[in-house]
Amino acid sequence: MKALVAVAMLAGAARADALLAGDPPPPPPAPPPTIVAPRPPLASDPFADRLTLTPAVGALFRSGDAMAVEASVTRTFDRAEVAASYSLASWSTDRVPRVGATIQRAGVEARYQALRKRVDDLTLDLCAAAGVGWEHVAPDAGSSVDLGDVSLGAVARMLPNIEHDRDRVWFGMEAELRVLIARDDTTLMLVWGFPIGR
Amino acid sequence: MRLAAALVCVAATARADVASGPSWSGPHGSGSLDFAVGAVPAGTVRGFAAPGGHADVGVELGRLRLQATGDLALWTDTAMDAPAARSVAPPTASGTFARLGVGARWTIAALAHDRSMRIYVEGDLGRQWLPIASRDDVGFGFGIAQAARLGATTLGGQFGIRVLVAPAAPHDDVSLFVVLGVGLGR
Repeated sequence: MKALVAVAMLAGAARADALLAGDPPPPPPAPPPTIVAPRPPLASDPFADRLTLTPAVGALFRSGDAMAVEASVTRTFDRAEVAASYSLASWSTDRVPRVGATIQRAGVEARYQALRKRVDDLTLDLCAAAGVGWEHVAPDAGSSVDLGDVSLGAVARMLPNIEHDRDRVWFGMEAELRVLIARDDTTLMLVWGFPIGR
Repeated sequence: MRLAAALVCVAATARADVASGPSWSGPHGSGSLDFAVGAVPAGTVRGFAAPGGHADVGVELGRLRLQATGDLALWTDTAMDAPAARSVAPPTASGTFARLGVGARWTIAALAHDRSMRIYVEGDLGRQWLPIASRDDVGFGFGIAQAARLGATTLGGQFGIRVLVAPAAPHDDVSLFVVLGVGLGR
């Protein structure tokens, strides 16, 4: 027993001498092996490269007015965006009785986030948009008409990451004011919806 | 008639809260009750359906949901909004829009760590009744549904767009709806 105490004291003295002499501390123990791969770090800009889908409702004004619904998909690249949309509208006019039409429109837009503000997990974007579209107008009586159009618009968006630091899941609100310039007519379109995606 | 149909919609939604099982993982019941607004044409008569309600009740089997839907709304001939049109073409009788349908919903994506945010598409076959017509149709939908677990039940909301296509000449009648409401399930 006395021998053990003496050895312990000698070892402690030797350790103290080593620390006083400036020797580096022993390396920390290696971490235990991981079974599940760790989550990859988020991008440097956590708001970059989003892909969202948006169901939306709106109104369309063209020598009369219409209710519209729209489904769209949007991909962002930093400040640049590309959006594709499909819209359906039920149009009628006050000028001529019993005249109405169902309008389908497929469009593609390029957008630029002219203004944006990030607040914690939230981004507020204001985009300028320009694009082209194809319209199929089916009157209640008569033959259908196809026409192309050019669109100019502005998009306002509030999009928080509802998963915070855990992951990226975007869910917010978006509104777009869009002017459709076709061969014979100009249309004002307002759509509002909920973008959701990653 | 309107009251009876409204009671049926409410009862169907409440009745959805009967199945058991954890959300998403096993068969379980769910339902929703929504506010709905829509445009419903019938031939050359353009009608507007508002205010209205939409209800659905279904059984969820993973991503698939088998469901029955019901709609009820006040339907108005939009020509009533146009004095010039009214003098030339008297508006039709306004009244009730009602619809029943049976179909399915498919969750195309479930987001968030608990998969509580879902993006869905849906389709159904139905029949609709208007003051001036009754007809069969095909319905399509796209939207977002969210649910949070509260003990043994789930409570959430949904927002979606719905399109009803009824055969007609020379072009099919296409009705548009937006629905926004609450969901309940187990």
